[in-house]
Amino acid sequence: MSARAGAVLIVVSGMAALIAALTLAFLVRMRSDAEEAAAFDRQAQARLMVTAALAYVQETARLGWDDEAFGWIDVRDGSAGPRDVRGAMLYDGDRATGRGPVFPAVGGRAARCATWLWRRPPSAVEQTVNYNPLPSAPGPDWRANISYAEAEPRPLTDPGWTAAERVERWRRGDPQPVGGEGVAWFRCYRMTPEDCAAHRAGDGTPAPLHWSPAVFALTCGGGGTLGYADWDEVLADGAEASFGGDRALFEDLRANQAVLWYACEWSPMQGGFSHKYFHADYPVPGGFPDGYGRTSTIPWSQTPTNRPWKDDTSHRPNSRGFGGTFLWIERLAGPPDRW
Amino acid sequence: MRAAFTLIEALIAVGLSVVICGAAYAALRATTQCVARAERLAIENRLLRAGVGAAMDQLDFWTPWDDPGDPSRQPLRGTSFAAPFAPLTVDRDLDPSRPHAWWRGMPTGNPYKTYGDAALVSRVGHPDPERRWLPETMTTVARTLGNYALLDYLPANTVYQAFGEDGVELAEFAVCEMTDPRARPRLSVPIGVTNDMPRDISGLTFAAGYAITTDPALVAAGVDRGGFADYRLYGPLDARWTTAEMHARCVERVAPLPVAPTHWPRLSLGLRRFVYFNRWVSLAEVRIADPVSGAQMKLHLTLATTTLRGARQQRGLDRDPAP
Repeated sequence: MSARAGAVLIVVSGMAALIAALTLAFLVRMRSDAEEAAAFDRQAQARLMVTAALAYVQETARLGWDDEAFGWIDVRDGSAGPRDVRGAMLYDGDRATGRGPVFPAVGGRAARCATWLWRRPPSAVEQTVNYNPLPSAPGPDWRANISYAEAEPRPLTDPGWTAAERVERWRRGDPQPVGGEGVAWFRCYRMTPEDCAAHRAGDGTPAPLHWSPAVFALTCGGGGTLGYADWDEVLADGAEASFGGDRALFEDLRANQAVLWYACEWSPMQGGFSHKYFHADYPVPGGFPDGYGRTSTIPWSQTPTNRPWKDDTSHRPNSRGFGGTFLWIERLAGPPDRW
Repeated sequence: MRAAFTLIEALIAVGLSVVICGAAYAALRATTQCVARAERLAIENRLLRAGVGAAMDQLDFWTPWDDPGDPSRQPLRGTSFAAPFAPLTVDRDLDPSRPHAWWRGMPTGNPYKTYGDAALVSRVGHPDPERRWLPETMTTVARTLGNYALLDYLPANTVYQAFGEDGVELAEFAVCEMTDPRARPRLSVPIGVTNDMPRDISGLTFAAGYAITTDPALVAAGVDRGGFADYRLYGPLDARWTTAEMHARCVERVAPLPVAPTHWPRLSLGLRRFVYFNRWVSLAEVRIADPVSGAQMKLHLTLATTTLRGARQQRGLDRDPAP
């Protein structure tokens, strides 16, 4: 090899090495950015789960127990709900204390709610907007114009199902994930008096919470563990297949997920009442400042504060929480003893 | 075979070389600028993520209003006037099935006893503990922690009316005069006429708001026992107590990265807590300002976060009374 060829080889090799180094640096940088973004994504998912968990507590105060319920604190007698209209317990628990083995019992094993999008939610219905559209050229007979010739809504079923299994499969739904499996989850644990007594302030000093049957610990996560706290819980549920039977995979997912712990106390109170129910016991010249004086014939339901279709803030103050409200919400600095 | 280029060839070669060098220089410069811009975007993105994360944490732990680890940054723990982070001893049993938590008042107001005297069945100092619990709890929370805390602690459907030991409605809840709250605490905000009809949170926050702030002037003026209003139909509205002032001044400015290279974009947070139009708002404003280009970017987030009572529990400030 001539000296010139050697020099060319060195130059080309150097340039190739330079390009390779730049490429590697670029890839490492991109990977680092992507990992940072993914970590932030998990934080955001966990944060979204706070709202989901709070909504879950509100809704399940009244719904979801195969019967109408009357709240986590039954407003009729202060007992630990949910209970039905006759006061019967809608969960497996001690009648006096509400304690039992699993949620919603006080001190029971936490509800684990993985929030992937199901391929078909339970009891899904077709999304057809209008089964019985008005005719484009309406006739004089209103009964023909406003018809209910087509039943609606219709259950979302698969033509391949047999008649025997159709209702059951429709009722059960199809939990196969539609993308994004396991990106977020939350757990809901109903705290005991002992749990509340063990509460500590951020500096570790004892700061007991006031206990009621409506105090919950909420754990909100972004990551792929489906909300399982540890591998033992996975085994207890027989859910190893969800992680390919690979404990190391589960531990890796657990180490990389974002988790936030909260506590909260639910209240059956709804709020969003209106001062317009109240009128002074003396005359107000010209009526009340909004023009709807006590002699007004305009009913309360039409006063400006109760017109939700008015899409501006000033006309939507009556935002009642029909699932109850929260007396308090507290972000916990770390995991409580039981969650 | 020639030994050298002709003059023409050399000139053309030199010219072409100059053009190529110029193009290469321009390309290198553009590339450098692109890299710098990409770097800047990457920094901005990282700062944005850091800002959002810091905002979420600060709203959850209420650090800008009260830093548990730094006594010099606890301006709302005073005990001489209502302060949201003052120690509080109060029975926290708000179980609505228990009669002590029931409201016994007069929805029409009570100045002339036209419809009877509600103070007979509930008032501060009533001999029956169940009949004095709610008015005494309301006054204790309001006088110790202030109005925002009062709305935060009491259940969502509370009607804010209470009678004193003399049977007269407590003016601090009933009278709608736009007074200086330091001299004369007031819960209601005088949007309309002065009257004494009791109000719930919906009525109290209709075109009116209550906020928590460390603004020294507002704290000195007694903001914790006053409120802000959008407008007033009858009589003047003190300019200090408009909701525009609330939004402008009741904001905690935080610099999450106090030390950073001077050429980096500046990250700052604006955190607000107020209740307005029946809504509890915890609002974060994440702002990035580029000192080089002057460009600014703002992101607003409203989040479900720790409530005031939750923040106080984080600090162990609430105690049950001795049995």
